Amino acid sequence: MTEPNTPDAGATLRDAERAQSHTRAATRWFAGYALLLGLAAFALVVAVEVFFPSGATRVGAAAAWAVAVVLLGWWADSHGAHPPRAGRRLLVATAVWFGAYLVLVGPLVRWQAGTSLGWWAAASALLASPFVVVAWAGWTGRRRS
Amino acid sequence: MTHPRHRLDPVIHAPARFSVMAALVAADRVEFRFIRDTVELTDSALSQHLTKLEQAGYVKVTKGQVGRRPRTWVSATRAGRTAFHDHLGVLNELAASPTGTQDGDDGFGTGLPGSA
Repeated sequence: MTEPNTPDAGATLRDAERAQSHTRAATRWFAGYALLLGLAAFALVVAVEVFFPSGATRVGAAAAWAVAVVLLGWWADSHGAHPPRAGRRLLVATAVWFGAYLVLVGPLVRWQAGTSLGWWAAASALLASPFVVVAWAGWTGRRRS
Repeated sequence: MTHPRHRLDPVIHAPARFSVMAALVAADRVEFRFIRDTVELTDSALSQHLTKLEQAGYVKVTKGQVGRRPRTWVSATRAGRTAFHDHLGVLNELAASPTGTQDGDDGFGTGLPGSA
């Protein structure tokens, strides 16, 4: 290995900068992925609370959501680069979404509004907001860095 | 022993390995073929570089499968990220020194995270 000399430093930095920019650009898909997961979360809550509040169709809606999430996960895995902290952020967003639905927002809206589409649409949008935050964080983080 | 070059990390000093690390620290995990194409290396050359980085504890290599296609994922470890940023700081120091570059200030030193 040759010892570094100072003229090499600039060239090495330029190459590294190019590699890093290329990797960052390749993580662009993640914001869209997080938004799609948020959309699926929104659709699931509206479906099971408004359109299929009971019976087998409720289970069918949940199964359709699970299939959509698996397919989205597959699509996510097909990308060559995953942004920093992506998995952890999505895990937190999912936990907040499901926990809030199960413990707080779900029981409250069910008690106050029954199967009202307007109420559930608003509640579902609020519940899905962590996914929007994750998408926004991914997008602005990539642009800032 | 006060010249900044003495503080360069010999493991990631090789330009190809430094570029590999630069690509890795910008992501959580990166696929083998993506790095190969980004850094413009052959499969075998990249494998050798990754082996050296892995032996130094700078990267973690995991093998998986998406459908029927085997995939190799590479991620920078905490030690690797620290080593990269330290090395980057020294390179920026060298590039910014009055006699550091042939064409003066190229402005690239500030673009990478952790640059001094």
